[in-house]
Amino acid sequence: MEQRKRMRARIAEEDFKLSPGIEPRESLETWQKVISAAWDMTIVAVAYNDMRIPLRRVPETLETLEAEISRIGDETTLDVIEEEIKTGIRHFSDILEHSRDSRDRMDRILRATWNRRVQLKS
Amino acid sequence: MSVIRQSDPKGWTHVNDDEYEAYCKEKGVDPEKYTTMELLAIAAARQTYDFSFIFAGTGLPMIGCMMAQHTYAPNALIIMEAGILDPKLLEVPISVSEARGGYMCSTLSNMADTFGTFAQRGFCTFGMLGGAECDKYGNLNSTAMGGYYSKSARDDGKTGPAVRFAGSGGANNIASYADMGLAMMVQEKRRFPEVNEYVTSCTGSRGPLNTPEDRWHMGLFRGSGTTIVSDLCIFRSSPETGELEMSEIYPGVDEQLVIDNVSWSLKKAKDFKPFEAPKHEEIKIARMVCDPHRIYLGRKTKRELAAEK
Amino acid sequence: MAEATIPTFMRGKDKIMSLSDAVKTFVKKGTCICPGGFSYTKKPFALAREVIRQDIKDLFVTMNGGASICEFWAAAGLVKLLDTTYIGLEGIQPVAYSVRRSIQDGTIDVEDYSNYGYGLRTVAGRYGWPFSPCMSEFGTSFMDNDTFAKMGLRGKKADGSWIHPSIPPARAAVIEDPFDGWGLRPHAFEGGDGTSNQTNALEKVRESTAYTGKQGVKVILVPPILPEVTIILAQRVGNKGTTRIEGILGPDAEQAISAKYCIAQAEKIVTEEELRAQPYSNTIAMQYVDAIVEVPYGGFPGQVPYYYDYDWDFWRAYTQINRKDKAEVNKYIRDWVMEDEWTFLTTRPGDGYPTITGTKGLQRLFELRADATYGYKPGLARPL
Repeated sequence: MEQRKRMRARIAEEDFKLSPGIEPRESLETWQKVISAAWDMTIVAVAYNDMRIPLRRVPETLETLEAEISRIGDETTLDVIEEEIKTGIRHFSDILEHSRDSRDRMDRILRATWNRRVQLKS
Repeated sequence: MSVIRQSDPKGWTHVNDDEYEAYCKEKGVDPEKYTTMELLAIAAARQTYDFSFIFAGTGLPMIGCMMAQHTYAPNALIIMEAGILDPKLLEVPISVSEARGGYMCSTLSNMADTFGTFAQRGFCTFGMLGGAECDKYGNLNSTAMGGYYSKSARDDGKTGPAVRFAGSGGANNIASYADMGLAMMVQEKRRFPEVNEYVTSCTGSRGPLNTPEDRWHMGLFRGSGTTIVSDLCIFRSSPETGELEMSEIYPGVDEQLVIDNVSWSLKKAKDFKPFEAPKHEEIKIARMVCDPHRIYLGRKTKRELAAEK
Repeated sequence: MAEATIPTFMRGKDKIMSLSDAVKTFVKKGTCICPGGFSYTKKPFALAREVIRQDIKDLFVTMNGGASICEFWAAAGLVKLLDTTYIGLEGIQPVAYSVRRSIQDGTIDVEDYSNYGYGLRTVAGRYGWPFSPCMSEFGTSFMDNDTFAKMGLRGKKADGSWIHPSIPPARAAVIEDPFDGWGLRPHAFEGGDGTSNQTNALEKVRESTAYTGKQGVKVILVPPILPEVTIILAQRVGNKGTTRIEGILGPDAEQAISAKYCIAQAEKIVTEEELRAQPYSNTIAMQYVDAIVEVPYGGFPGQVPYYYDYDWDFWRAYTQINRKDKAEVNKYIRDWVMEDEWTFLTTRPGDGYPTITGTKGLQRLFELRADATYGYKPGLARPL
């Protein structure tokens, strides 16, 4: 409420005062390592953003392929399905191989950040 | 002007000798003897130097620039018209705008962008072109012969030009903006007239130096001289007159043959010298690295076919 | 007052049409039509074939990108005027034979530009500029010839309307640079001796009185292209017209945006949402696309980066076919396109020409699939 009152009032002279240097609680080295890694995660998130809708369609796409197999009349068309699925298996296996461990590790990291928070407070 | 050129074959892309032997047997080519197309590609690569920008036109120039990168100019950057800068050419492209030419390049953009962002801005050291016709001042004609105009625009009642060529494509632009022209073509008297009836691209001085007819006095603000690599010799623009002069001659080629195959009285350059025969390493790289399917290198000229008989 | 109609470019999902409807609606006799793509890459061949099926004549073809579609149309005798830069079949036939023959025998009239000159025209068309500045065609025969002017196609009629809506009043114009070459100064960069921008020779240029009779730096102005219809091929088009071209772009975006109408041939029509999740990867804004046609493999026998490669064997054979008698080639191309695209795709791939692998029809199409890592099919056999 105090803050809101102050914001609504005209800006006062004391608002313009610049602060002296702050002694950060983070070392430069740690911060650089963390931000570099954080940006790597963001880069993946950006790529995922472009991928997410086609990826979300995959179950429906696979359903269509599976349903059509019994109706296919030409072996060539089966080649098409097989090749796309093989490529899909390669890519999905690649993702899964890294994902399972990464996913577990992400849980561990969350727990570790919570623990560190507790340590910092005490 | 000092340039860097990686002249030591030890620094070039390595080709395994056993693989080369097997390749030559399979393709039916003599491992020691070079063909005309290979000679053109090798001679063109020798004109380049390291850390340059090579703007490659369609056709044999694509092999020429690949050769340059694997030999004398490993750090050269190749530019192609689809906005391609510095591609990784694993397979020789058949077009300046196909997926093979764009693999692992820095940017891809539109046609106008390439000529603006790279050529007009000055990132075009060598303009590598193929040519149909070349005249005394290095002007190329790739548009038409026997009159330019098509039927409805003609005054002479003919149905169209006697021969229509492909047109400029990017050739005019590459020639206008390159620091140095570098054209590769087969030499025949009728294709080397004294004055081209149609000027598509000005690779050299366009006209006599320091006259209103030279390229700068016509409005082109870039360019110096040109090097024309033919299947008989190498021509260079004279620094005094701008005329093409016979500068280097290939092994086994008679000077008179060169003189007889241009339509003007050909002078010899002051520093005229024989061209050092294609090295074994150069031929290996051309065949096994640049164009293993021999899409370009497999073509034979009339002169070559006649010599074979 | 006439009833309000929704403009074509605002009709959302109604833009999605069949191949035959799209061509029937937008391409008429004498249309100024601009085919996108370059050489063999991303050429909208399905739309081109449909134009042949519907036998639409007297076309005014304006294009930047190499001659494969124009070659088929010239073979079918459909082209009357040509405004272009390059009529070769790159790598395989130095000059596309049907186009060349038609220019030499008087069937087609042609106006020439260089790639950059024409590319700048498409940029002017894209941005709605009255012209673009070009420095490249000085000193060449481009500046001394003007086919359409000699044919009387440039300028205005007695009633004040343009003689031809898609032909500008001049091929080019020359002005003095009002900034005296300020923008053309050498840019310095460290590359060591022998690297770029060695030869900027503005002082010599300033001495010249060519083209205007006055000294100073000259600039060539080129007018925009304003075709009635542009046809392009894109990998993905959203169902309201947002277009994403992946890989080699060529002149497509500028040509599409310059046109009055654009027909986009898509490998797949997807949801707008899918493409708008990352809008900066999109190539053409939705309102510039007036019709969307979904034709998977419709770029055959050309290349669609990341999806499939060109059919080398076809082009190798075609460049011998097109040298036959003119009437024979005309008949061949009309037989080749068949009655509709589905029949074409199931029958013609691998049909009537020698192939290395012997595959035909849908199997051949599939065999041309590209590797998504490279954009082309690595190791595709390409013998002479």
